[in-house]
Amino acid sequence: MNEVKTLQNGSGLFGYKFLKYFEIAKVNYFNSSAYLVNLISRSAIVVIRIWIFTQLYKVSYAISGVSEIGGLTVAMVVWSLMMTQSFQTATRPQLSKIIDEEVKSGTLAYSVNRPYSYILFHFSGFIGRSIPNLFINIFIGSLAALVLVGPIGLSWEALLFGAILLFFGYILDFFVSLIIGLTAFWIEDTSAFTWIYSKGQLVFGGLILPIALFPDYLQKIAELLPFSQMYYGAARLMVHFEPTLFLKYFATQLVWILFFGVVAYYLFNKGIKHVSVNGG
Amino acid sequence: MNKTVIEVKNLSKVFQIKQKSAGFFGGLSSAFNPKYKQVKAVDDISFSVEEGELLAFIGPNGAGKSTTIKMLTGILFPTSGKMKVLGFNPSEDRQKLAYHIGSVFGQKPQLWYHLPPIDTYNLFARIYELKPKDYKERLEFLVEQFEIRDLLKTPVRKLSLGQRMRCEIVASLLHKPKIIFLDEPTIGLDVVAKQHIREVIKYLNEKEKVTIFLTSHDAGDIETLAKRTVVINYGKIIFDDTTEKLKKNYIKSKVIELVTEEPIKNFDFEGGKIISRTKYSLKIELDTAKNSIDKLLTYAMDNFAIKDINIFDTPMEEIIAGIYREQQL
Amino acid sequence: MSLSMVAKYIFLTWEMTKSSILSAMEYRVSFIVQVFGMLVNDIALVAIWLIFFQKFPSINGWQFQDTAMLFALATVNFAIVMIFARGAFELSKTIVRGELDYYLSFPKNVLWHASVSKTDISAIGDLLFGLIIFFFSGDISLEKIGLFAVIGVLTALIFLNFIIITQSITFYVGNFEEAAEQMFHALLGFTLYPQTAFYGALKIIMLTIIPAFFIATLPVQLIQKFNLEFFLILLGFWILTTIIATIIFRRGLRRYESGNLINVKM
Repeated sequence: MNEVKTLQNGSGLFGYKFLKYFEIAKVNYFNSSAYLVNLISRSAIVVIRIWIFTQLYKVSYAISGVSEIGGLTVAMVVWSLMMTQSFQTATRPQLSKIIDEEVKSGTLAYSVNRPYSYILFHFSGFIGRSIPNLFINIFIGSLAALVLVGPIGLSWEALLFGAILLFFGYILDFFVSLIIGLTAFWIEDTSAFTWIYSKGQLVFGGLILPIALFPDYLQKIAELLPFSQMYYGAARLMVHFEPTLFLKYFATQLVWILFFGVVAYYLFNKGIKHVSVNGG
Repeated sequence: MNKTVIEVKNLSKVFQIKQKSAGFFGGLSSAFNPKYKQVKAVDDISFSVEEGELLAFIGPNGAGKSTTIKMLTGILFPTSGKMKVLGFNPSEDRQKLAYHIGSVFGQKPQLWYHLPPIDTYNLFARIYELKPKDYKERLEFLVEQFEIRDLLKTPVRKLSLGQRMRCEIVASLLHKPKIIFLDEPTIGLDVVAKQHIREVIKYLNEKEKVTIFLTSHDAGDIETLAKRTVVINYGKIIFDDTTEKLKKNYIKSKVIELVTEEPIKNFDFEGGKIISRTKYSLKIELDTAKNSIDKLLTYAMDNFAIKDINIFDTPMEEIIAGIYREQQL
Repeated sequence: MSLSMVAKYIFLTWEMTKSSILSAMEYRVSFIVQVFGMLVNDIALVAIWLIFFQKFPSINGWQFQDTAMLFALATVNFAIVMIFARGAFELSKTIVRGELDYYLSFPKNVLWHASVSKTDISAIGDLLFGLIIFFFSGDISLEKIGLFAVIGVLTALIFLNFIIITQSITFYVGNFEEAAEQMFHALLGFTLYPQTAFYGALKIIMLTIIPAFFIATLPVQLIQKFNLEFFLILLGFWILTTIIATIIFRRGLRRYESGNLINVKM
């Protein structure tokens, strides 16, 4: 009898909590819709960037005298770059900075008892902030790409499986950013780590040069690193769907998610203990 | 006959505050069709200050104090009216005027936090284009007067608040300004440090004939230092007279809290009304017209085992309410 | 502005920057981390192009060496601005918070004072990187080093003008912080691409709104092969941007002093 009661209470509580996290995500959504001017200038930058990519790769391919490299045409390259950029830049402002501030201000240490709810809270915020930016970026980016390189065949499988990779890619980015923010427990200035992380994403995340265009040996390494598995994997799959590629990327993602998830959990608990031993 | 260093005639400042509507579409509409609300921060004020005066400029928050000071220093342009500071029109000759005025804002430090004060002083000497010989003499003089010789080479972040304040004031005096604007110079300081700063300010004013424009929420600062007080409220000057008069007419009482080692049994002091009590403490409202704080403290020390004493000034709101009441009569 | 005044301001700039650096050195570890972190950061940036040029060795004549020179120039002139005038980059924040009042109370030029009061320690890492990668940009001669120094300073000044112009828009439009910062990053980022790849309308945009030509392409060409005509064009562009920046800031400052900003602090 008692067991039944606890179960009921448990699920009810969880349902309530989930609603709470949804509300938090909504708040973040409206917060990020507030500035019109920022929106316009951001969009202008997106368009110019895609334009630059278009010309750069058109010229580069022409000089090399090929129409396809690594399975990608110029149009596919531009669309995949548009996507990785859209996916990645949607996550600003950086979570690592937010977590850093919470650690430094003591908010994290003193108002949190369980890592699970804190992490879920920040994940909802992370997704909540990203969604409007993501849609705006994709919308404008797609328009620009359509005009500049024309449409590419986007099959429903590509979009569906790509979306799966994207969702897990966000989880992966979330965990790594969380970890960087958590190092604030021990390190005065975490910005150096944030730089290195974002540069890792730049070089190995297919933000300027798709990994498919890397020299072979480097490509193999890059695809195993977590950076390529956040946004590039999803974008690459969306522009040119290959089932084996999906499985490879998804498996790599899950391994990294597991790894970073455990590290994050461990660091979180260690950090809380560190504070209670040393004081604020 | 002293010369006038500040002259203000019918000075007004009206701010246009943009009304923003909430939400996304609200933001959109206010971007294309903005609505403004007019706020009169300073409303047709006139006064003049003579060389060597030490005047207090007080009022509640948002009364127009900082707006007035900003206009006098050339940081803000007035909407209408005339000003002359040391013969300059602050709005037109801000940089020229800046060579002759100094300012200390209790909340906004000028000294570089991680460096010793001497480094900031050297920088200032260059910014104000002081001749090396003059600077050396001046610095020596100030260091002596303000007793900061031992603090010169200590990083500011390691100094106590009182020490920092003294060093800040020295920084504002290096270029021998003729007028100094002091904003909350004793904020956050303990009783002893407050006293020290007040002495220093008094000395400045008396010996060097520096005109001092003091804004403070601390009635103690005002009573000890300023011969003249100007009270501003809702942008209008509602009192411009001697501090004596202000005290006599509006600062009629002080609240004294006595904390004792043993419970207080009988308290009887002329003019002192008990407003609250606990086993070991007593709060007394003293009518300053009937009796003095000194006498009360002597009475308390003689009759009780005093552990701690706190003195509270009449809050600004009451002083202003008093002024309004009288003006309506 | 007399020559002695200019000399005074230059000397004061040096004094201010020195104070900022000494101040930052109080935190030894943070200082070193910032410098080396930025060094690593910049190496990663150039690494991407190293990989790119393995696949596409030459873009209309532009090779990795040219990108190296470009990076050297860009990081050095960025470093010069960030070490001596970082405050200019934060003008938007300074204006919105009403902190210009502090600088207005001094008898010195407000724009100058607000700009030189801050220093970015990580920019020292940029400077180091720029000097190192300069040595990967082809043959080094004494003449080339001299040219690099002169043109580096000139482009730094042009870059500074652009920062002042974009940051000063806050005087007119209000909370522009995020947009200004993004514009800046975009500007900097776009100049690092092989400029020879662009044509048509985009090339014109790069030339005018995004002055990649004047901060990147032209200076790089000048250093690799000096040409008096082009040098004078660069000089002229500097004068033009200085005039525009001065006007926009001055007008904006008048607005600020009238208290007519959208977010006014009373």
